[in-house]
Amino acid sequence: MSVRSTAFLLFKRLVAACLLLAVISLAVFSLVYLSPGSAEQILAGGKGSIPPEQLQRLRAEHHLDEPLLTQYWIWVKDAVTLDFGQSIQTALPVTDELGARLRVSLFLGGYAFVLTTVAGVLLGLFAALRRNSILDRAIVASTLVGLSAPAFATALLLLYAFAILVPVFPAFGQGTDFLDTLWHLTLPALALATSSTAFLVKHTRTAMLGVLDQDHVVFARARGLSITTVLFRYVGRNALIPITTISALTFIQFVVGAVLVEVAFSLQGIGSLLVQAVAAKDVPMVQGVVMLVAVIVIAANLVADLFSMAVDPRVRLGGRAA
Amino acid sequence: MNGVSERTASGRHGTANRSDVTAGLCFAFLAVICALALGPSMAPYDAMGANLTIGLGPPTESHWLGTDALGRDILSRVIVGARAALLGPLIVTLVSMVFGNALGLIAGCRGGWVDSVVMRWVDLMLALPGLLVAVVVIGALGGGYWVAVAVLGVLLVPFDARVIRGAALEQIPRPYVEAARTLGVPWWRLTLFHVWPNVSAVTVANSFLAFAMALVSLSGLSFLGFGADAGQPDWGLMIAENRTNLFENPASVVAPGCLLILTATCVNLLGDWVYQRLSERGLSR
Amino acid sequence: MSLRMITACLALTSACSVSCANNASQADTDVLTVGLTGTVSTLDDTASTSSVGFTVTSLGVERLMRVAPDGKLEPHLAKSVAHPDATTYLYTLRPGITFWDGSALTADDVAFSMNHARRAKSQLASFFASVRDITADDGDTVRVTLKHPDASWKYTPTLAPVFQKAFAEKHGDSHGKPGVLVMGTGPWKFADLAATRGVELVRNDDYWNGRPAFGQIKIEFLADDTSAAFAFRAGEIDVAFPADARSYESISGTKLVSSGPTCSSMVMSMNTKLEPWSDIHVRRAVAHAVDREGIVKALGDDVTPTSQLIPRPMWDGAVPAAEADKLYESLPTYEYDLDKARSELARSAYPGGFSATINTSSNLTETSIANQALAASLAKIGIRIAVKRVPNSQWLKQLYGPRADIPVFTMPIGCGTVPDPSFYPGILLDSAAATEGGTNVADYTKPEVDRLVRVGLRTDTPEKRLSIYRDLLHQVSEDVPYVPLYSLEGYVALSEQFVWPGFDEMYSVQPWALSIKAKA
Repeated sequence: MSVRSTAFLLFKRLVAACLLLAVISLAVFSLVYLSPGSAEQILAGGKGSIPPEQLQRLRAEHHLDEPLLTQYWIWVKDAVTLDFGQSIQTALPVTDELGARLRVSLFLGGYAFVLTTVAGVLLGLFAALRRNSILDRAIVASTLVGLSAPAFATALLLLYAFAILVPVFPAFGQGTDFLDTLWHLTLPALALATSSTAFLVKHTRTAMLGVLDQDHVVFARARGLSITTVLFRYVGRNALIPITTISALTFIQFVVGAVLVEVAFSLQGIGSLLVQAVAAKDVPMVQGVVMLVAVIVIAANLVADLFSMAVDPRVRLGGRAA
Repeated sequence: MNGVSERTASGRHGTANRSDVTAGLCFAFLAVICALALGPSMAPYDAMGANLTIGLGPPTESHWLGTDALGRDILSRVIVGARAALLGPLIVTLVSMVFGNALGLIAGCRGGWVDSVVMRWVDLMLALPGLLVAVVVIGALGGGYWVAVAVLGVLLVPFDARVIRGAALEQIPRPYVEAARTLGVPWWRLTLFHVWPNVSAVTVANSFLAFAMALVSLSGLSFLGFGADAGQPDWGLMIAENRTNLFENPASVVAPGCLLILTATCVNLLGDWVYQRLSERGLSR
Repeated sequence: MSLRMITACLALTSACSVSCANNASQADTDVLTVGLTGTVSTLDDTASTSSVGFTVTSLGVERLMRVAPDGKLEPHLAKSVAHPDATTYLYTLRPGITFWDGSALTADDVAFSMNHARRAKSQLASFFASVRDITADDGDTVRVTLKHPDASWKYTPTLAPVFQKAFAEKHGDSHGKPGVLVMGTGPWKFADLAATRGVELVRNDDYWNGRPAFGQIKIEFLADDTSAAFAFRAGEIDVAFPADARSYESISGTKLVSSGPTCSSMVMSMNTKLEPWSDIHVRRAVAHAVDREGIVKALGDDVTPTSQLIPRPMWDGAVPAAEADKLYESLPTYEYDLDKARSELARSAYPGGFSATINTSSNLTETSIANQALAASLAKIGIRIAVKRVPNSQWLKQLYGPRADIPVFTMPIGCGTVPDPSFYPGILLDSAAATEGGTNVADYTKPEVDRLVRVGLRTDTPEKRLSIYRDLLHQVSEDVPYVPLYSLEGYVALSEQFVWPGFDEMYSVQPWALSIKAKA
């Protein structure tokens, strides 16, 4: 029963996901199609004095003269075979570029996620344990400042402080091997983490407070169990679910929503790619990035739901209409 | 109402007061920003008035925060910038509040398939990278500050909707709802005149957070070139445009940066404070 | 204006304590790290739309000719050039030049490469418009036949890259792309091209013109000048070519080496067919109201005001300096005079002024300050200009038409490729270019001007050319379809351990890294 219902749910969600992808791709395609720019001038190098027949040839080659729906259909036919065409700007396959960019974005997102999780959970924990103390307030307030600072401003500050005043980290580049990449992406990851730690601190703190006030925990502490034991045995598990959900969302936001930090650090991630592609009316590239982001978001949502079903029996037994 | 319940035992009175003091300070700071934005202009110079003969310069007696590359007075631009800093986010907040409240209340009070459809949509929107959506839409539509404001307004709707729905769901089991239902009050009347007044405090608290988010996001869009038009006295844009003058006139970056961060922090702190008061009230009930 | 030579290191000894310590790994001068703002997706220039394409490819791929710092043409891969009649050019190859794979460079390779650059799909095709055909005469001579005399042709062989025919034909459309790369004769061989990250080159030990100093050159692609400047300050790159010199100097904390004013310039266009700019008094009022000194100051004095559409440096190497100076002193100019501007505007149909928009392309953000400064100076006579930023594709669409919505543009025009006086008139004044897709952005049409443009291009005698272009500049001054704002300068940022004597703006079409020397 449980397996069958899970499979059915998966099936339902997959169908919904495909529909959603179709809707998103058509919407973005139309939006960029209707935007007041000219892709053939980008194709021609933006220099002007291109003979009309040459422009005509470029338009025909990239189907730019076809009506919207025809163009979209041409795109869909290739896209279902995972062929997203060639970039207008670089004439290279869109998938190659996406692959190269995704590696950077995943690494950056993962790194920032680890930083945020470790810092957020630890700080949230301390804040909850020392509720209403100076420490609690300082933690909450300082992470709130991080949340209130635009990510690009944090990035500039970090760049100035740790690449120039005290040059311990590089100012740009994304590294070659694992350790080098780690070293290169430290400042960008810190900038990203700074803007999001507040959420995790707040959630951890609230969740912990909720649990700490529960009778069995109060009783356990009254029995004289050490705070660490209580934390691991009673508190951790119950506080886990909301923290996991928020974590999954945070991770995805880091991977696909790091555009400000990418631009500030000259990182070639998917966010900065989208910014360039939109400016050049590079429809195949915009579509490629949008599809990639959409798939990541949908998949992450599905995984998070499955996870909470597995962990929380209330959800598993259909407490939530899904 | 002092808001301190019996469960917050002795010794916590002082801290509760401390948070009130913080809130008071934040409120005072925001009042000053509002006064700058709404009151008669206190700017010593025309914020848009370029003075090409003096050009870029550090703080002097006549220009307390120095000038930018076009000789525009940074202090005046920072002061006038308060208007854009409040107006844009305020509109974003209002848009998201109105639609977010409507959706959240409908989802919470009607339940059933309406609820699940709305919440599916909300989940998806929350997972979408807001900045990227804004970049695609604004890039395609040709950009400009007001497009950015409109896009952010729409993007923040699900954020409000989710919170309001949660608050509404808490109200549903209460006796007064039951009573109203028994009396045959139609669902829309129930939602609008019975439930909504009870969740409006949550709405207010949430609006603070939405405001801060809008302020920070708009500045990010300005940095990417998708926000305010070149040369406008907008704090985010000033940081982006003047970051190249960081070493010649640091004040041109630091002043708008500090104001932006302080304003957003104060709004966030106030939002938290309102939430805290609400939950304390909830506990004492 | 003399070259501003680098004195950066003296001025920077205080900053050195930080960056030198950080530079420990780079003290080794065998590796040169270059930061470029832009990306390159193919090493075949005939297929490349990249703004930094030449800068990258020139390190490995060479040309027949080069322009020396004094503006004179010099043979490079060619040994000599013969010009037996007005429409024939014979290029004789330097003997003993080999490709990286050891095979000899032949006239066949050169003829193939030039025809490759001439094909309809090529990004360089427009430079070959006057060519009838290009053939290999024998083992070491290439014959170029023109349809009609063309004074600007002689510069085309400084642009067209010379590839190995066999390699290019073998790879077809993927020639130049990542994984395939190109086969050239240059001092460095391409080792890797990653479209998003950068390029790596290694020394060609068999280079025909001496052993190159650097064993390795790493080119890193950066998002913008600001991040390049931060990276430079942090000691992570040795060489950069900033577009926005003022902010680069400020952030990087280094003094840039300048080429001095070049023949590239920033030009404002006013559409002669669109209201209110079609009113000649409006255009003259604008010409008087433009505060060039103020604009230049806003840009940090890194450019030089210029008031003639054909910049003075264009004549370097073409005619004796004294004669060019005499011509430029005699030319009429619109001095900055608000009273004259106001009285011109009063004679127009818009005595009270009007509103307009200037768009800045998202790819040319460094022109935003210039546009704002221009708007500030026009505001003084009541012409209110809103400066907006638009995506590059949209800006290009507005620029190349059909021109209807936006009648005013400011555009940086790079002449670096064709330093001939016919260049600006050819792209900006010829009525044949006043069409959709054409570069005559002001849609300026005048039969007399067309005649002068044509005659100028087909005349070789310097004295005749001086008088033709004098007449042309008088016409421009009369009708003001364009207002030149300032001459651009070429800039290079160099880290402390390197010097680049004689840096000039033609670097991008030569193996420029050969000129960079480790400091003694």
